Amino acid sequence: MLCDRCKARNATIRKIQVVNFHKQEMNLCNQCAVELGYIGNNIGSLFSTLLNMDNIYNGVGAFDKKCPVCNSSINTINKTGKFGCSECYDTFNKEVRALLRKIHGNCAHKGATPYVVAKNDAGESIADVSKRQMELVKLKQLMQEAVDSEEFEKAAELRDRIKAIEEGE
Amino acid sequence: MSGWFTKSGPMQDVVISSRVRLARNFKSLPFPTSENIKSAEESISIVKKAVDSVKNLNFKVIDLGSLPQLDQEYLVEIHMMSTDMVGKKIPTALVIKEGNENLAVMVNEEDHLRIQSLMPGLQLEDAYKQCLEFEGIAEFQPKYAFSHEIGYLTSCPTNTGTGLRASAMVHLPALEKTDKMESLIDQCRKMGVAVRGFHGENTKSLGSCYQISNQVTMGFTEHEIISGIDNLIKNIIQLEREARETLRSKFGITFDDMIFRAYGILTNARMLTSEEALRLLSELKLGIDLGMFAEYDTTDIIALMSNVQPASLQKISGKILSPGERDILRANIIREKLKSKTE
Ligand SMILES: [Zn+2]
Ligand SMILES: [Zn+2]
Repeated sequence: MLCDRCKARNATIRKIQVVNFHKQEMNLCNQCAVELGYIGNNIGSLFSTLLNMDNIYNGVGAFDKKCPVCNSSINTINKTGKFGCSECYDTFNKEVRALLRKIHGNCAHKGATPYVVAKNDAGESIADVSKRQMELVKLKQLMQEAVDSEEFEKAAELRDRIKAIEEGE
Repeated sequence: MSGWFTKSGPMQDVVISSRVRLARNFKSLPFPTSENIKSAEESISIVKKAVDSVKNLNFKVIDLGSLPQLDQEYLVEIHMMSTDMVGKKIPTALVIKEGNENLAVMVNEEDHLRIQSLMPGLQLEDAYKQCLEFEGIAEFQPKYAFSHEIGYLTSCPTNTGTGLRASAMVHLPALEKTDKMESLIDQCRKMGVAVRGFHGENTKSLGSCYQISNQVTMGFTEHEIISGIDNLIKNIIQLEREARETLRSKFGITFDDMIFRAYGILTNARMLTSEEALRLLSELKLGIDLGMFAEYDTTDIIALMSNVQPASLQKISGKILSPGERDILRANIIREKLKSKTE
């Protein structure tokens, strides 16, 4: 059966509505049902499901918690589906991880890291800068200067070094 | 600004453009979603400072508040920024790179930085490299919000991790006409890949253009995400090319007739609505890609598809036009462009 709304996809959901005392039946595809708001597909509703489960198990909810930086609560995040600041990730750490697992199927970052943590002699972290990126910026500046002063051999050499760094990531 | 869409790129018979977007936020500043004016101003000033420190890289920060509405709409139309950037409650800015139409960085959209690069044809890897160039310069003070466990922290959890969205705009008229779209969209969805119609309904998109992008941003490296989408697009290109051949051999003169009718209207009409123009240009493009019109280049048609959108037309004419005036100008531009190539 085709969806009554888009008439393109197969209907998977039957929605019965009472309009002006008449019962109306609508057969909708999943997407149209989401678009009409009959079934939830937003982050907010994902969040509430997770949190409700959490409440049942723990007795106390995360609902009273507030982010110390942006003052967001689970309620406000629920409404918008968005965090207010990066601190929210710490404040609602447990809930966030469950949410990320639900969205991405995992919650372990495997991608790029912005900083190489530089350490001093005592082994303390002193700076968090990306060496690769800083290096690239510097080389590109030098290359531009070489082009500007028409030192093309030097520019070509710098270009190759930039390329090597960009490809060697 | 001539626009990225006027350049040719690899596999443009099927892939109109590639886009890579990186979401980044500055540590210790609330996200733009908190609608805090002070911190929005601050993130713009951080960007300005960073850009100033690398003057010879030719980045330019445009305060969107000072840009006329029409120019903003134009930037949305050519995909340099999202609709969300127009009429926001907090100050926003756009960073562009002079002499490079591909890069655009939205400041204070949903995240402090949405670094994006748009390239003609299938060039996801190159688009990613362009994003990295800006990512590197802007990474000064304060640092990006990042956690070693869960990666880059973004305002919406659907972007957390790499903050990377790789997408391609593909032209799939033959898969559409042979009713293959539904199963394709279904398969993509199962792989965690989103397919969206460019204009209108999902399975019947106006102009037969679809945007294909990764949904999952965490648990994979940037390279894995980009090459995953790249491989998928290459498979789709194959499917679309086969479907085009099938269509043509199955329908023969009926198929040719459809294409030539589109050509006939485009080269003669005096008024064209945006919908009609897009539909006909899509059909003409299909013919060109099958070698039916040697005098035209598929890039010409892609440029027309972009140029005949409402804000672009008004930008070309330099004034606000009523819908009726736009339909006339649209028809004129298409007619002249197509005729200029046959003379
Ligand atoms: Zn439907
Ligand atoms: Zn917060």
